[in-house]
Amino acid sequence: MTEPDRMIQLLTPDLEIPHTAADPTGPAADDLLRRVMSAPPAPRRRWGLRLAIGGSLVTGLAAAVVAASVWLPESSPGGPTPARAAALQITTDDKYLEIRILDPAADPQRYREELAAHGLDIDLSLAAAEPDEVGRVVFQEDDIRGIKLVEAPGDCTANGNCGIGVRVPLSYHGHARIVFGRTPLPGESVEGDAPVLAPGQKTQLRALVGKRVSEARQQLAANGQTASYRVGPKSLEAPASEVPGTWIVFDVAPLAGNVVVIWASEDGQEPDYHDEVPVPVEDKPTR
Amino acid sequence: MARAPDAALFERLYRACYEDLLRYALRRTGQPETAADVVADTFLVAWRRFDDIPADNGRAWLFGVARNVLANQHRAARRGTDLAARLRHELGGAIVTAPEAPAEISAAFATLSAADQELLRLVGWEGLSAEELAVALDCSANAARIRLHRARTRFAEALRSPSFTK
Repeated sequence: MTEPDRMIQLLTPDLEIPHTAADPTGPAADDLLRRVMSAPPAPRRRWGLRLAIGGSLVTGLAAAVVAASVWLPESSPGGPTPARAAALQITTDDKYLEIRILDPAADPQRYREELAAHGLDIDLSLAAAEPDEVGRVVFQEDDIRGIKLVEAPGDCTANGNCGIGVRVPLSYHGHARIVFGRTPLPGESVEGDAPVLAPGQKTQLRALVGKRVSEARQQLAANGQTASYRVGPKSLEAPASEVPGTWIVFDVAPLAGNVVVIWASEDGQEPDYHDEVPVPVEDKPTR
Repeated sequence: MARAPDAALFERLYRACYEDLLRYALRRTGQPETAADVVADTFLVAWRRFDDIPADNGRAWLFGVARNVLANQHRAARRGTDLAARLRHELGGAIVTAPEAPAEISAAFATLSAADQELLRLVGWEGLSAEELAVALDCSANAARIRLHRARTRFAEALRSPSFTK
């Protein structure tokens, strides 16, 4: 311990805690432990997914992944449509149910009805997306692992999104949210309204990759944009004060409200995303 | 959550770190009610992300979570299920008092950024090593050492600055 540490120790507040609260085997601790361990599992967000050219599996979804809480819920392109042709293509074998979007203009309520008819608690909706993301999976989150992306290799978007559907194990009993891309509505804002960007804006954003955080900050500020940072192996949100200007940007993604997500690290290398370990098919969902 | 957490392992970690986390939360918030929420939220995150907890550094990892929970307290909505109800009740009689430290030390410390203060507190108050700090801050040990070094230096400079020296 250094001298500054010893001085800071002098600032430690004094505590008087009732024994019933402080005792790790006391009533308060026991009660909290019991409640915590009976809490339902949290939705598992795929934080590791990011925009990356030539990346693996579901790269290209990052913008939507991080933007999900901002703009995804319930973006129906029109009202309920009278047509009752199937909105989804649902095929099944003895292990899986495969879902693809047939009608990207259908009312999300119809997807829900079709999925509920198969006994699945999957919230499926649509969100405005760039032309090459229309009909593709742009966001997925689930509380139990097991849902897999159906990919169409050779038919991937420029940023590497090949997801055209999802495969759900018949035994799946978790809750999941899946969003497919749709064509923006006439008049729906494109400029500055993530994740639909004009090509020029995309180029401008991509140009930030490889730059120092300080430069990226300057440029974003000049464009009237705000940065939101993601750092570390969990791609967690961090305040600007914890992202030194000398760090290097290794990825970017637009969010609504002129916010740009900046992934940065000290050396400009992308950390390993531990969350993205492949899930074996036989991995039985547990609660 | 990939797998159901191992209940026995989780309980062992919980019992071993509960009091440290409680003290940390009390020292940092000064308010028993808020501290109870921080402890509850921290262990809830730990339960849900059990797979992410480093086996040999669970305590430091928990401090990292608690730190984030604290930072998000102002926007944390009250939960539908009140995890911390009992703890809040039992903790009602807790008393947090400021220590009698030389005024110039408190004043110098107060000039530091929130990030520097947090680093120095984690080491000085909670006894985290640089390696544990790296786990708590989710950065490399090298980055943690550098940040710690800089924070200590800034603190020493603040102490030497004319307004704090007699």
